[in-house]
Amino acid sequence: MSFRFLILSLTALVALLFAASLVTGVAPVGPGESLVALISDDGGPLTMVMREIRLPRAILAVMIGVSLGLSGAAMQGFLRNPLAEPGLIGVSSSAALGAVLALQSGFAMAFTLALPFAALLGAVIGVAMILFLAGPGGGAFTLILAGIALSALTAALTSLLLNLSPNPFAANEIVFWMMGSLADRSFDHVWMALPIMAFGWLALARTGRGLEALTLGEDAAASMGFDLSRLRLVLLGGVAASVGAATAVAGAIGFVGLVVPHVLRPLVGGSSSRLLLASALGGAALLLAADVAVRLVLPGRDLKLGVVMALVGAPISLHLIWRMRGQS
Amino acid sequence: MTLLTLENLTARRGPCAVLSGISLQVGTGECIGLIGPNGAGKTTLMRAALGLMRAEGQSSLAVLPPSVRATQAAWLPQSPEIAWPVTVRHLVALGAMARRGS
Amino acid sequence: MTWVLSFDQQGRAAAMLARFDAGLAQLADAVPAHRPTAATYAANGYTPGANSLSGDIIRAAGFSHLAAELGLTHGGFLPLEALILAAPDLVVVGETYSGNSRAEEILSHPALTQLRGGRETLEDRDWVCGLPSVVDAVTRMRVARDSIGVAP
Repeated sequence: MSFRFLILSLTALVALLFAASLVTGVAPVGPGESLVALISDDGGPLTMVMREIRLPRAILAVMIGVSLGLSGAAMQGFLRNPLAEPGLIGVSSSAALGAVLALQSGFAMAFTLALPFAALLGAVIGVAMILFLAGPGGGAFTLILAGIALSALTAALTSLLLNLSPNPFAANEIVFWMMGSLADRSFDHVWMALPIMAFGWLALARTGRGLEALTLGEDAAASMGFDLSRLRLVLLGGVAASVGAATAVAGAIGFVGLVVPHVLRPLVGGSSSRLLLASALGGAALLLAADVAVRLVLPGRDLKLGVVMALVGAPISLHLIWRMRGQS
Repeated sequence: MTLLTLENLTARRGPCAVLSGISLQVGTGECIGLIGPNGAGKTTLMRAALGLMRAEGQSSLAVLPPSVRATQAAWLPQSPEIAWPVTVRHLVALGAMARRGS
Repeated sequence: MTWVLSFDQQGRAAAMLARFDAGLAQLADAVPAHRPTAATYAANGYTPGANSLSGDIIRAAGFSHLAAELGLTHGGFLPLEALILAAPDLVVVGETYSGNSRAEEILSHPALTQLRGGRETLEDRDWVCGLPSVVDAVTRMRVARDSIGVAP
């Protein structure tokens, strides 16, 4: 399959699922009627539902899917490990801790981008710890163990903060921060997340050639003239910004960054740089599909995205671990 | 024409000198095999010659800026297995990355 | 209502009760034929049912209760989409607690704040218990109802 054809197919898939997401909801309204109400403003409640509830939800699914797919592909390329994924190795839960800390301390109200910025800082600490503990050469199992420890610690601290909150509803939201959801988000969240996410996407888009060179190992990449410490910094900033902003508005959604590169890698012939663009689109498609699924399975009940993603992703990660076990 | 000149190259791991005082010249058209038992310093010699690790003495390649050096020397190390399947075409193309420029 | 018995306060209690009954009666007299729709909306999209104090308050103030229209007699979670599509004339939103919660973020969702019709914020204490101050809550709701006017 040619790369151009793959990208066109994925783009078409994203467009299709975007439309499916727009017409999925509790309201008993036909798809055609919904889309007409979205485009032509009749001032009625359906236009309000389409423009203020469903449109931002679908846009956020695309943005977050791009962020998670891109981050997964980039981290896997850098660590040369197919299990490196923001959710699995604790980067998302570090970001969630940063976001919860900002919300409960009131820092989130300090300036417009304070919430995603705080989540970014949490993610920076998470990514830096992972790169330090299980950087290149650290091996697959060091990475997973470091991820387990980091996830456990940050999840515990997040729970503690939410339990300490004066708000009686906060403690019930531990599951939102651990599992993620796009229910009842608005354009406020889109505008808040977009600037920081876009910065992350641009940074990660610049890592392509370096990741490509890393396919053969670090010495080979260095002998090709690539500055690996600079690549590490760009990767750290890119992953932290995109995962941080995504988690700040939708909670930690796992496995997207694992499933998408796993499925698409054979289709790009193992090329790490081509995998970046393909995974960005694939991530958007997967998250849109998952967000349609949670609304179809339990309408109006806010089933968490992480539930669907874990059902799809956990078997794949177990399979990857099994395969690596065979190699060593 | 000389492609690589090493003069008195010495590389250490901690207090232990892995290479000491290696001098060598490689010219156009030469094909050289470097033989030694495990731990003899074959890989260390390659890395020191390319400037991928700190070393005393002179290497004509190590003093070049990385992007220029990359157009004159390529190295395919004995790395652990590639983490995922890569097509042969793509793998071969990787070697030309440095030459194609950025 | 004959359960206030001791402490030599029967006189005060009777007076309070009389004021309460008079207040309710006065409000009941003036209930017009047309009833606009009102909904109560709380954290997580919870809406109390028709068989609740807030259901009674809404009816006494001359509104039709949205939860009852939608069949939620005992209350339940109403998705924001469903609330917006039902287009109630008035949404009553309780006070929020200090400290952030996503459950309460739904109450400041742009779709809800832009909803046509009034949007009343009432303090929880008026609504949770059947106190004499319930009459004040009904009166305030009545004012809100009158300001909506007679819609077709």
